[in-house]
Formats: sequence, structure tokens, C-alpha cells
Amino acid sequence: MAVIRIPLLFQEAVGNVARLEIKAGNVSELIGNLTNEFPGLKEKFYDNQGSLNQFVNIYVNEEDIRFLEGEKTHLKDTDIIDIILPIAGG
Amino acid sequence: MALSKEQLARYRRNIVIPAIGDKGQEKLLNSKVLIVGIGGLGSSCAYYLAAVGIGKIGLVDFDLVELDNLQRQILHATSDIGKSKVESAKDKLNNLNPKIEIIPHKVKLSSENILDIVKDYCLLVECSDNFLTKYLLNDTSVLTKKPLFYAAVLRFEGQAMTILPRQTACYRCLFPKPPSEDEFISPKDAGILGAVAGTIGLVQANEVLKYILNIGELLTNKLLTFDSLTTTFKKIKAQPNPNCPVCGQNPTIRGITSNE
Repeated sequence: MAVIRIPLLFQEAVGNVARLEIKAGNVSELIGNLTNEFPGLKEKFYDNQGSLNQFVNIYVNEEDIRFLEGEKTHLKDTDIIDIILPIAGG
Repeated sequence: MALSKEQLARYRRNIVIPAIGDKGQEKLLNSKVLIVGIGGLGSSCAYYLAAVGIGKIGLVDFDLVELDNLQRQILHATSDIGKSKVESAKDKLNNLNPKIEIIPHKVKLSSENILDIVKDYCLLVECSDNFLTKYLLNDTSVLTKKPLFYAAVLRFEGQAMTILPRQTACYRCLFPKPPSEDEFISPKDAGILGAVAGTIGLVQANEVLKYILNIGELLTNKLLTFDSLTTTFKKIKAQPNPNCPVCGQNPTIRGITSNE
């Protein structure tokens, strides 16, 4: 199962854990499975039109999925997925 | 400009480093750096840049020192409560290094005044505490081609990136649009550990020094993330985004008109 590291601002919605293991063949499936299990995450990932929010950046093994195959990026069990959000504190 | 006897003594530990020397120290003394936000990030960043001998440092902040700033904003002291942050910072920095120029700008940065403020500086350091200013500075950096040293912190985490406009990925290449206010908890509600802000502010100062001295490898096309709970620094690949609204092939942002 791929390991997904949960950013701080999403952790409350997944029961205050920093990482989860999720079975998924690609990124879209991963987000689908994750948001089915934790419905509170749906509005954080997607905008009103159902597109991935522009400020949610997803990396597979430290590569931005925008420069891989987007949400169709294939996942292996050994992959590590990072979600990076902008933060604004100074 | 030859270094004075006092400068040779003060900056001796810089000058003995072969990659710096007299010439490098002169470059530092001739540099003009603008720091936006004199809070947690800005405090540590400004203090080290003043110590190392950056010749002119501009400070932008509109706020007054408050009691709940003091757990992380180390340039300000209890006796400064109620004073303007830029004046409080100027006092400390000039006490540390009286021969450098510290310019306080007690203004709320906006699309109307930003170009007038940045015109006297070569490098921009982003230490603010809100998305509006972060995006405003990013766009200004791209449009004026002034390098930007970005950072942000929240609770136990930090981020930093160096942006050479139109050469390397900008902030909007990574995050095209800011989240709306209600989508995120504010730094005020989330909290910030002082040591995290201090650490990341020093990453910014270090980037500024490497850029001026033209040494090492910059944090360009990389987003540095810091997780203080596990002491993990990671560099995540970033690249210029052809669809970036400000530095992409068909930019929709062509001037500093309004904060968006």
C-alpha cells in the first residue's frame, strides 16, 4: 500500500494522524479512497466544480504530479505521496 | 571601496573564508535588501543580515509590538510593547551594527505603494504573515525581476524557496491561487513555534548571502519543507509552470493592479 503523508491542516479530518497507508492504482483512486474513508477531506481537495483545488499540490516520490500524469499518475505499493499546501505564517 | 580598519576587524570571520574575502565583504556592504514582515521569520533573518554587514536593509511592517509577539519575534522586547515594529527592529539592528543603513517603512504594503518601496532595493525577502502579501510580493518580484526569498511557517512546519524571476519557478508556479480565508486556519489560531520561525528565517538569510556572494547552490526550483517534530528537511522538486498566471507563457497578471 502506498504511504500518504497528511499535511498538518488535513490531519484533524483523518483522526489526527500524520501518515496513512492506502491501496490505490493511481492518484485519482488514492484521493477517492481517502475521501470516501474521511468525507471531511472532500471539500479540502476539490473545488465547487469538482476539480482538484489549485493550492493542493500532490507529489509522488517528491515529483509534482502536474509534471507526471496528473491524477492519472500510476502508483506502486512502495510509493510515498506528499501533499503540500501553502502556509502563510511569518 | 577599501574596507576600513574597523570593518576588517568586525568582519574578520567572514573575510578569512576564502570564498568571501575582502571582495565578498565589499559585495555584502554594497547590497540593498528589503525584508517584508518583521515578525518571527523577519526577526532572525534581519538580525543575521545586519550582523554579516549587508549595507542597506529596508524593513516593512505596519504593526506595533504586542505581548503575544514576544514568544517568537526576538528582535522585540517587553519594553517595546506599543512601539512600531520597524522602529523597535531598527534600534536593535543599529545597536548590533551601527555603520549599516536601516530604513524603516511603517506602511501596509499594497498594490499602490509596493513598486515605490521596492525600487530602492535589489533583493526582496518575504517574511510576511498573510497570503495577500505573499502573492503581492511574488508578482512584484516577477514583474520587476528582483530575486525573492520566500518562506512561511505554521505550528511545527516551515517552507522556503528562492525565486530568480523568469529563470526559476515562482510561488504561483507551485500555488497558482491562494486558498480562501475560510479554507485555512490562520497563523493566529494555529500557532507558530518560535524556534521553527527562527530556523526558517535563517534559511532565508543564508540564501540571501549565497546569492550575493555567488557561492553554493540556491534553493531554486525546489521547495524546502521543514518538519520540526521529526527534524526532517526535504527539498521537493518545483519547476517553472508554463501555465503560471504571472511567469507562464500566457500570463494573465501583467501588472500590479489589485491584490488577488
